Amino acid sequence: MYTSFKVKNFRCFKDLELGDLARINLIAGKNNVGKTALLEAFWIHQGGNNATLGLKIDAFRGIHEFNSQELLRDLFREFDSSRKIELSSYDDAGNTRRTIITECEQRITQFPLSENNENMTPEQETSSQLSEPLSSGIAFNYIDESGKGYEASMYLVEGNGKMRVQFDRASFPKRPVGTFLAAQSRTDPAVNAERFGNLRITKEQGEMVRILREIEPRLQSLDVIPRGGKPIVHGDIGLDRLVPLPLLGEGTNRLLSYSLAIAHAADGIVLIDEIENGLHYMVRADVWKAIAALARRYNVQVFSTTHSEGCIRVAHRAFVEDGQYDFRLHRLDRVADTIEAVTYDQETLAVALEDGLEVR
Amino acid sequence: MKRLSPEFKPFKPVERPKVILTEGLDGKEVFCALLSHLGLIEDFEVRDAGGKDNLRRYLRALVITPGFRDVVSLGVVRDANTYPEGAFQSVHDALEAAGLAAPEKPFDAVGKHPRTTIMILPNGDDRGELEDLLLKSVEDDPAMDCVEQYFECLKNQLNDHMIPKKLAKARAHAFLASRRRPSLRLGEAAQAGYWPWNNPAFDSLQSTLNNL
Repeated sequence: MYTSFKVKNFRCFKDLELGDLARINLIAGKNNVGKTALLEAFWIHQGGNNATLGLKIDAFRGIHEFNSQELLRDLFREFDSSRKIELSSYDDAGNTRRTIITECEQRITQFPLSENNENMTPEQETSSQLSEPLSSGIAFNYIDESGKGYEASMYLVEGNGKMRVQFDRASFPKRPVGTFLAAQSRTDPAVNAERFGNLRITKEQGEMVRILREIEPRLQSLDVIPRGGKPIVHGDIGLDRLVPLPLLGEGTNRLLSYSLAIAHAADGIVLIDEIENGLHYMVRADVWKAIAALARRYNVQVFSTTHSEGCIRVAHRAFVEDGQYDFRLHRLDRVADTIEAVTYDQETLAVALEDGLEVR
Repeated sequence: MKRLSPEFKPFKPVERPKVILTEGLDGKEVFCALLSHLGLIEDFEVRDAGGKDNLRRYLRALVITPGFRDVVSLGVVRDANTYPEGAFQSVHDALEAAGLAAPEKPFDAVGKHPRTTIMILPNGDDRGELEDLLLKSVEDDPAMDCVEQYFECLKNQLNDHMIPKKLAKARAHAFLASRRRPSLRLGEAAQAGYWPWNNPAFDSLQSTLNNL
């Protein structure tokens, strides 16, 4: 489990250090202080040398078009790719891992990026026409806990009148899963169905039913049923037929996605942007307790952003009641031209909540 | 004082450049009234940090509260009670535990961003509390003769174990009971103007606040 994380020259961060990380971490702060960017940094780092994640995080933000001058240049602070990005993690076993991202000389041009990120392949083909001259590529170098480096680069190549993104990756580090749940989009029902199916194989599906009952007490069971060629999780809520989960409330679906993502990312991390979105149940302590129990069971570390005062208050109360306070609130503050982080432990968060000290 | 449920206490960032922490609501109201009298209140935020046992944890949370980075002065008020040196030392240690500069004696100001001052009442040296300071300001008030006679009478009429433990608090309440609105708490009385801020008893404290 990560205990601290450093981010240099990534997005809005000059030199951020986030310490005292716990099993469940909430990240707060004003607008434009880099809450989502911090999750992105974690995700890229967790992906080892998987350069496609750089494209995916832009796609999550709705950026699907790039040109030769700016392909992933937005990852670099102030778009200055002359300064390398460094993402460094430290875990509770004393291990250090680093991801170094640098610009490299390659040919890149404008192309559309598919939104279907789950299916992105190492050679993502595009149909755009060449519109920019030679430019630079980008290299991801991951250095594992033993000091071994894994390098990958990404650039555009031209062939048969088409441009395609070329990824060069000689070897893949073995990394636990990192799952990113973006704020603006629902998880693909087919992805949820696959993850639920995996739980059925190991007979762990009952846990999901128990968690979803926290917000849908009528739920008796869950099953995966193909519809139009795609598998979809259905629920039995006591009607004379099963109901596709996407037809139930946003809260039910988001909680299902969160829970399945945690189960899917065993020994890894889950990143949830704006956890309270569409989910007023996150102001219920029992939902937090269920998520915490799941994270412990699958040894997953959760990082989530929030704007919600209620979400923070109830999460704190839930962990106090739970008796196992493996929870921290981190706030990002803009200080002059840098972003700094402060962390609330149980004592400081308790006194802030009791005495009305702002924490967001 | 029973705390409100955490569910209902609204969040408040630090919004002013100077902060004073008191150890109770009465202290907060007294300092607000005194700062208003001095025309300084717009620069100050006075917060009740709870009882003396809460100060250390309160300071740890305060220093990471949004807005605290812009605070230039922090004053911590504490009653001396029976052990002025101990009261001072506990505030000193709490400041250090929060990563703040800690003065070496009461009413000194040290450090930068923020500069810190520890105000041990009634005067930094003597035993006692806020009430002693307030009573000193009204010792020439005619009603105080009656208050003294009242306590002399109590002393003669009651067994020792029935006499109020904290005589200064009892005398302050007895004095306030002599006013036109007899049921005000210490802080309310301060807001109502019952304590004569121009009395020399407040000179030292006023000087500290002016320089904070």
